[in-house]
Amino acid sequence: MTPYPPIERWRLPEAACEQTRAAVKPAGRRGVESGVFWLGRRAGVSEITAVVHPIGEGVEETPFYWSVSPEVYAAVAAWANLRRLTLLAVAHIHLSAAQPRMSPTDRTQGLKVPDALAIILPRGGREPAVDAWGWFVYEDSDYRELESRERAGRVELCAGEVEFANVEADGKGVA
Amino acid sequence: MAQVEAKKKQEVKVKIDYLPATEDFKKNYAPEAIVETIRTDAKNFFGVQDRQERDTYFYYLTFRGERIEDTNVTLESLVKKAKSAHFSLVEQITAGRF
Repeated sequence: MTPYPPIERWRLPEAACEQTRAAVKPAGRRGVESGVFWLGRRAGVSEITAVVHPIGEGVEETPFYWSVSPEVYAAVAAWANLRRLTLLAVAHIHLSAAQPRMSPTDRTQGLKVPDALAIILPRGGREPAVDAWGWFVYEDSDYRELESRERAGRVELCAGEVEFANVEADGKGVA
Repeated sequence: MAQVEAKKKQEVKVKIDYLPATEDFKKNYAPEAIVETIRTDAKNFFGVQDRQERDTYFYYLTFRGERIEDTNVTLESLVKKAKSAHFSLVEQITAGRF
């Protein structure tokens, strides 16, 4: 039994995309990067059911990178564990309008488990079209870009509700 | 036989979660087990290792919301007389120099 069952497809409620943009756009307007975690139940077809926005002490939002301290990460883990959810993806913004590319920091500090997704929203999160976002999947010890056709086939946008929470290092979860 | 049974009853059921993983790591340990051993077993189960590349990666355990700073202690010293214990494995990345 593996703790990381292979993922063939992801079901992504459009509400998760909207919640993501709503969470990160204020940082983008301030000229700094920000991001969220997408959680759900990992399976062959994994559905994102929660968007978690780390906030407060331990979250660094700068013009050049976004990072989350282990203490905040632990708080997210505690929040997720109560709901039996797994971290499936990390979405963060780049300020540039250019086609998103993973920076060396994105690659080295990103989630490193098989089939983890990294999503980059350009234009500080103002870009609503998911086709314009950068989509990357972790395989064979590195991230590779999901080209648009593969992305369309493996990431299914769907209807559905998504839980949203701001989580900070002291374990507070504010819906 | 009776002694073996008594010893088995003393074991602590350890469960460790890791945020990106679907399955928890579960194993019984003797109370005198060293926490570092448990951390190593958990890292192996989740397929992660402490390492230094450009950045430094370290995986630590939390218990009751607190980071375990010293892993060279016994399980019993942490959990006291509890029969089970739930930990989390957390990744710490320390950025290297560019």
